[in-house]
Amino acid sequence: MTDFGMTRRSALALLSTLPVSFIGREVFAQAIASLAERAASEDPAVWYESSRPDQGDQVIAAFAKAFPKAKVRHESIPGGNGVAARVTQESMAGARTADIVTVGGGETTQLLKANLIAPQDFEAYGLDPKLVFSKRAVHTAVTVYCIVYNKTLVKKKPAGWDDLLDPQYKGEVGTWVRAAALAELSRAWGEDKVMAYYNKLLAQEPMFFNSAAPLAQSVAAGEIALGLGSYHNSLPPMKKGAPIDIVPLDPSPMSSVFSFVASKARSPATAALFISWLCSPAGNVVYEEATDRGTPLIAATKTAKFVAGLPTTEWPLDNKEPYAAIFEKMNRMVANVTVK
Amino acid sequence: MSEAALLSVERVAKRYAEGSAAAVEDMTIDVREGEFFTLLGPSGCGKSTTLRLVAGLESPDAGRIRLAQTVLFDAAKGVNVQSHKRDIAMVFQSYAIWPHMSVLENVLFPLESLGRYGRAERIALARAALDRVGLAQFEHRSSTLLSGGQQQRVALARAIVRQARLVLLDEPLSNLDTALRDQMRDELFVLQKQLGATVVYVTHDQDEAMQLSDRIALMRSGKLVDLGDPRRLYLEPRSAFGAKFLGRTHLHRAKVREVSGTGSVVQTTFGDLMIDGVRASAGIDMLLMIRPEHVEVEPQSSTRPSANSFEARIVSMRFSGRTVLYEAAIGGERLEALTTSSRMFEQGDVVRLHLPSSRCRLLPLEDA
Amino acid sequence: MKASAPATRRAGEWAAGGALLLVLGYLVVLPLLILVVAAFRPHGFPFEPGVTFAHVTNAFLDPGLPRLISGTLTFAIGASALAVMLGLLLAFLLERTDMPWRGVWRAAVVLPMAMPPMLLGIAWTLLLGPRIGVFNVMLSEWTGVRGPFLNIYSLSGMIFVEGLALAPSAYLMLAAPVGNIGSAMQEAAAMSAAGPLRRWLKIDLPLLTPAIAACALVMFVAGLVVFDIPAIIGVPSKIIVLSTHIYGLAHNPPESLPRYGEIGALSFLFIGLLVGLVALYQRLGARAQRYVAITGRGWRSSPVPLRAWKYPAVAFVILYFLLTVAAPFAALLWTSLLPYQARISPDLIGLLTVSNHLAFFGNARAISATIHSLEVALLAASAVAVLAFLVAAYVNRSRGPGRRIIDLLAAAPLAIPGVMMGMALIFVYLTFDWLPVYGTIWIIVLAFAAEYLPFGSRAMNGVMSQLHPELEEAARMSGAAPSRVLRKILLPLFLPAAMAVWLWVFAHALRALSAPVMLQGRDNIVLSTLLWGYWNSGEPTIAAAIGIWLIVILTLATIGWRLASRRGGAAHV
Repeated sequence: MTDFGMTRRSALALLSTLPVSFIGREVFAQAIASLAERAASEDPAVWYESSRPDQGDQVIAAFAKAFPKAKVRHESIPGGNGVAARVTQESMAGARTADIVTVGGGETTQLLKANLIAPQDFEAYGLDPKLVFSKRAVHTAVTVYCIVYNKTLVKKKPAGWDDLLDPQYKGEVGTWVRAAALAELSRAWGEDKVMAYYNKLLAQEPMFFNSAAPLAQSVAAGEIALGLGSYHNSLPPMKKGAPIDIVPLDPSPMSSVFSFVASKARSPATAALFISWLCSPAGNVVYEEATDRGTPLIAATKTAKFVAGLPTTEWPLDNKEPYAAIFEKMNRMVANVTVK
Repeated sequence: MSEAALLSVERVAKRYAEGSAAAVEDMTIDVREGEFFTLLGPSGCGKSTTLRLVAGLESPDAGRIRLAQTVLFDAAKGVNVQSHKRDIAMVFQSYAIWPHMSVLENVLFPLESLGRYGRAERIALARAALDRVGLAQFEHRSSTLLSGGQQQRVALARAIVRQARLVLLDEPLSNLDTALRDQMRDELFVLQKQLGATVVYVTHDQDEAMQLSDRIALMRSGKLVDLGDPRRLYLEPRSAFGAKFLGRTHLHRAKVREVSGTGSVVQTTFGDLMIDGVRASAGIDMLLMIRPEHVEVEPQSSTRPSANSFEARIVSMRFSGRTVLYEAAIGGERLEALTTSSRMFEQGDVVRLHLPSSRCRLLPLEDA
Repeated sequence: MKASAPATRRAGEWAAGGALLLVLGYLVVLPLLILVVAAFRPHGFPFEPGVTFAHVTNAFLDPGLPRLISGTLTFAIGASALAVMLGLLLAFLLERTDMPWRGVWRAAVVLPMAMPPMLLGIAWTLLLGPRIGVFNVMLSEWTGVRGPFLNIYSLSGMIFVEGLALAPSAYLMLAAPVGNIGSAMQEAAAMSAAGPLRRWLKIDLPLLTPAIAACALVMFVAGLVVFDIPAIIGVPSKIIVLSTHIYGLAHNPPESLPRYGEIGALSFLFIGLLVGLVALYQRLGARAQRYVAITGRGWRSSPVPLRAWKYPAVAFVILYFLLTVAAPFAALLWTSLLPYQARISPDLIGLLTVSNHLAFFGNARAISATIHSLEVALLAASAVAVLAFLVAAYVNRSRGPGRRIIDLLAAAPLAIPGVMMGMALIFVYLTFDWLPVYGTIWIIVLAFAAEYLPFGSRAMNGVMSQLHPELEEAARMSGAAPSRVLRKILLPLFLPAAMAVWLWVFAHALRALSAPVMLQGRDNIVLSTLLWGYWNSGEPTIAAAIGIWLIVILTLATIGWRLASRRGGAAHV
């Protein structure tokens, strides 16, 4: 069967970078090939993710090239919690929902609790065991928080956390509406220190952004001088020549993004196949190309190079409760910032 | 029901909403072929409703309506012919000229709707109708550029072009100014006579009604109050309401003293009066009616017989060229007299007022 | 034989009334009901088991709520006051004075409608941003003082932009009443030795009070529910109004899951508001129409001579176009030609590129979003035109039951924020999966059909009340069957108004953001959500390029609408 041969070739290509023996590769290739064969008879799988449609399309196109028989459609839903809400909502109503879901750690925990994630033997499909959490969620990418600053407005390159509190930048600092970065930071600093820091940051009268992407653009435009942004969101304006740069933090807070198969998936084989590809070195590089974020656990990614050697901090997926508590506390503080 | 009637409305009733007062109650009228028949009354009396019931624009709750041999409506038999299938044309108060059509298109519309004749013949008929109303040169004018009088003529042309058995006119002159109204009234009169059309006309203007109509149905609060030719309605009204609605009039309380073959004698506060005709029995209270123009004013020295004649003093006079309106005092009573200006009296003059027995009427007291 | 014609007619009216009630119940009442139920569910999902009052107490005992409400009210009052003042001044200048080039101004006065509020907001952040805003940069350079002079990211900034966004609608509502004040009253006043100003203050303004009040009320409600401008300008400075609060509860909740229960609880606020406002609005509307009816037959009064005032008058109108169209469009065009967001400055001319525009035309997603936008706008416009016609015909021309309720229901969506309506529809169609509209353009069409019905039925009501019923009756008495009356009389007379409604809804459906952003799903990304996506994912320059093309389409639709309403007479907001 030529089709099968094609899939096998794709599978082998997928696995070529894995540090396993040739025999091991053959075993994985068999598993993936049979998964792909099952996927071919399924309806298109739907992937809920919060990148822009055109970014999703780019990823899907590459996947379609690798596995032409398996069909995946990207559905762009604003915000990770938007994705989680949609899945929860649709599952509860018994309506058709996503097959593949990509969201942050907080949402993943919520969906795990709600029993909306299907177990999958991802390791059997050749995924690095480091990536796979409890046979369910697969590490897909990270958001690495950093300082982004405007090179013409900020004369002296910022060095770290204290620069965001510099009084000369009062009213010219930007931050994300959701204090995810500081909630992750609390693992390294402890709650009290982080809270004290956040209070000082709010006293800077920062400008708030719906995400770190418009924040980076505002830094580029010069509306704000610097801000607590993120690595992957700062890259697009930088690539286009905007006068901005990023400064890694010590420690660097990080938020992981996970992919999994929804328990109500109607095309589970396609979903498992897609995630196995997305979180393989080949797929993840494509994903990073499209969205500027990948997982540092795959050496081929630029994210891995950026993170290498950085002192990072993050609450792990099996211990997200303290994160959630601090996160909520901080969000409530923002909500109560007095309007001038 | 008279068999000669073209339109007969029989015991028709209409109530717009449950529990509300009847708009029309127990209405029965016959309209003869070629007749100009007017429904007259104050606003809200049900005259327009009656017209709309005949047109089929409203459905009666009870009764029967027949046009020639066709039963248009029969509540008992569940018959209700739709408006557009009735052989009736109508002119509306607002004229209802369709603004998106030219004058000619407006007039052609009924012929096209009825599917009668070929195109060339339709146009000829429409032009003839426009010619009749004096709008021949306006046929291509947009109907939005017409004056009120011209709109009125288009509406008339639209109604006559289809040669319906019956033409209904709903206060067609009420939106025109006075001069134009007089002119259109005359034209309408001539037109109806020329065409020999049967017309049911609705108005609240008694002058219009009397000048145009063969017969008038006087209505009040949804009921028919009086029916007859204009002369009868004016000179011999059946009620105080009818007397007042058709023209200026005096109403005085009077007691019937004697009734004889030739007339009666009634007692009023200014003296006893002879009245022609017998309508009541002795001893009852009634209303004496006399119109100002029927009161004759003579010099005090007049040698006329003293019956129905009273000495009076002119309290005021209003000169309006052709006529003079006097207010005269007979003891404590005031009486108005309308005379021509051929002979005139001054304020303060003492005169004799003569109330002709043939023009004095006795009316029932109840609705005074 | 007992089935007499009156009974048949009554049965027909009951059936028509019932059908309209069902459709309106489905479009308007059902979504609201779902929101109310959601307020009492543990996770805010209307169909999960369990009952809780926690969301209601959370929402209403929230210490931030009074500030939220007062902020929303300040914003709505400020924006509506500004819009009414601008609209009234424009209406006076263009309808009543001898201002130079009145014809040109009148033709152009609705052009700002082609500027989606979202883009107006974005443009003004570029024009009045504290540090990159052109005006602030210019002032800094002239005075040598660094620092924001005018900060768009403030409550007054929001009010300013929203007021500009609403001004064309206010003008449209006021132009006819201002222009129609009868000459008799004017001349009577002149004969009482009243000067023009005194006449305007003592005669015109009191006569206009009902029209102004109705207009102010509509603008106020629009300000209460609007999403785009508060989202673009308010959120960065943490000035939150109810609509952005609801969006935040859905998209940026303190925990990971959206707080649907609290959104449901907040819907009580709007339902309460709605009942009061709609009743008030209908009373004002009826009174305003009565005034117009009285004065409608009068002659147009001779224009008020402006004399030397014509210079400031022309300056004012030019400023209006500058603020609502020219400056924002220039700012967007500039941004759309940049590789990344930057201030407007001659130094940066070297950076300009058309790649964002080329990318728009080469992007399959953008093409499909454009097609979706056009489909949605077309369907919503047709649905609103037909439904509004039926509602107006039933309310004005029949004696059937429930006319008042139908009229009220058709006006109700005025006071429901699009964001909230969007959420309710998600619940409805997740449950009713036999009607597979979830995630398709149809769910947006349904949201728009409800959202724009108040406008449509108001405009149709206006035309219907101006068309004398005798026009139809005359046709029936000319022997025309009902179908012919409809075809030859009613439709031709209604077509211009229906066209005007159709094009207005078409244009608004193209630009609206709040409902589509909530309903965004598999196959229904439209231009406005695509644009919002690019803006929020840090591609403001691509967003600006999409915005430019959206404005181009909208300008064409607006011109078409203006031409249609010219022919159709008074089909105003």
